[in-house]
Amino acid sequence: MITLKNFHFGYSKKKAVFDGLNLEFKSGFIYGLLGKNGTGKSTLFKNICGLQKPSQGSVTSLGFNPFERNPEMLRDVFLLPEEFHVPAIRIEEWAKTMAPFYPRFDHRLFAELLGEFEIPTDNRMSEMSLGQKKKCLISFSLATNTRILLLDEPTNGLDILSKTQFKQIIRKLNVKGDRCIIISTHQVKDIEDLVSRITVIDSGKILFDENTTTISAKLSFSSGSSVPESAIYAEPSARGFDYILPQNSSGNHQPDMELLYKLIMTNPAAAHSIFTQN
Amino acid sequence: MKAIFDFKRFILLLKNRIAENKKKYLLFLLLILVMSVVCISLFFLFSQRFVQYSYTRDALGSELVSELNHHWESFQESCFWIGLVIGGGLFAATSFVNFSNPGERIFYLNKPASSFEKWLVEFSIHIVLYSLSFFFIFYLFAFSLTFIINLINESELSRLINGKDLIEYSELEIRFNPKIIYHETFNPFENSVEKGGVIGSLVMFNWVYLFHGFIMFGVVLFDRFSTVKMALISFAIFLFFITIHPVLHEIIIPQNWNYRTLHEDAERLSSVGEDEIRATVNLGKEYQFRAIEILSFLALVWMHSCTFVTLKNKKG
Repeated sequence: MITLKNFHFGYSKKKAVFDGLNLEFKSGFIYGLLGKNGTGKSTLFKNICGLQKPSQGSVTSLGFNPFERNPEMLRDVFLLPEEFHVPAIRIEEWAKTMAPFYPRFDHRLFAELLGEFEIPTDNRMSEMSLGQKKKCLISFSLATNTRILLLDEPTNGLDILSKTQFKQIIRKLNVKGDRCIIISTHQVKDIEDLVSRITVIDSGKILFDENTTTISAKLSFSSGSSVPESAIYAEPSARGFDYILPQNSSGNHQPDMELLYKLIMTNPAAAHSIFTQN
Repeated sequence: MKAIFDFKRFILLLKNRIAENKKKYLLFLLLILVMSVVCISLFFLFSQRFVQYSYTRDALGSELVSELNHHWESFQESCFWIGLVIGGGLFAATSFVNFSNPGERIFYLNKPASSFEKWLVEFSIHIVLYSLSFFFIFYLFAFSLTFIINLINESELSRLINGKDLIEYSELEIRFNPKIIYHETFNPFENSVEKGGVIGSLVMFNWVYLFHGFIMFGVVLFDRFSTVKMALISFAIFLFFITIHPVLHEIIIPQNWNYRTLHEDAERLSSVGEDEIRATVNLGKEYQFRAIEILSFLALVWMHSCTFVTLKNKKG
């Protein structure tokens, strides 16, 4: 669905953001794209949807060269950027002129999501609060039903309740075989339980890329008053210690994203060795 | 081909852009209307003095009316070109989107339409629709005011004639040449032969739309302060052309057709008849006009092509 081969990119010739990255995003998954601020998550999104052009190597989205911005590709790719702009018109009016661009747009789902987020539809979009604008755009982006949906830091600017609503909505989404959703964030807790695959990038390289089912099979996440010897990562917490144990251990197999992320960032070699073992 | 242009998609984008920016477009229309009312009010405040002045004169009365006619017609002409050039230029500066705003830029570039359709929509709104709206407002005022002025003028003149305020010859002049009291609505295509006739008018429009295309190009090329940057570039181009004008003149116009040279030749070649020299000089001028016409048209096409290509390669 999305293929990056020997992907090089930099905003200036001196500083490369990506230096020979090879990565594939497959259909049927909700990806969690994790990484620190400034590691290139938004840049990767821009290259996938054709807003930037690789300096070397290639990017292919739905079989197209994204930078050609072919309308056939654009109608099946939607990027919700971190910084966004809304026009000074009512939501319904905006959706009426925007929805026809997306052949699979689901008006019923859009109305449902606006209802769930409690967005007043008769207000001008520009007069809404930042959170309301974001929720409105999240609803629109999900209703487009594009085959590629890129959500860049979607939970930024949302209050705690809205973050929960967002999680519930994504959980309810039935991501079919031909769709791929990539959610980028540096707030890993926000996408816990949502994603089916985790990709961690740092300094333009892939540090980790695994399915959540594989993670659950290989690791267990637990807490206690002391750290077991077999723990591959541990940190103090209110309960004493939170730690990660290798497979076949007792504990919660549902990945604790934050803990996993910390393991990957602090000890990528250990994480890598566990996942390369048979 | 569908990847470049699809009529359905073009209409969708046109509707979307109008819906998203209708407030801005309506404000611009309102601005044109307000400016028209202000300019017309100022003109009548100024021309009122002429009418009063004509009452105090007798023998010169007809000449003053004639002068007033001339003022109204040149006022219309000035308003037409200033409104089209400056108003259209300001409107062209609001074309596309605010590319300095990352969110606006990303949403615009990612809209499922081709770069050609995006350019064509902006061209249709900011050049074609602006021109049509401007012509409509201009002629709404021009026709109605010319009609009212003619009515007032006619009654004022008949009052002057009946009151014997005008001496005999002026009265006769007005009766036998009624055109001097009638105003005409400005017609940009009714150009004098010296100004190139209809072709001259088309060339004038060509220059106007070249200027608008230049501004639209700036909007796509520069993310910030595009109008200021394009104004500076225009000034630099102006200086450049002034400097290279003699060189360019020699390149475009062959030596034999050079107007100045022909004048010098005419002085030297006194044996050649005056009519023959004038005919040769006129032919040289004609040649020069044609070259400028072709160049201006090519420049118009090139400028809009540059906008399209820059938009196509624009990064988000």
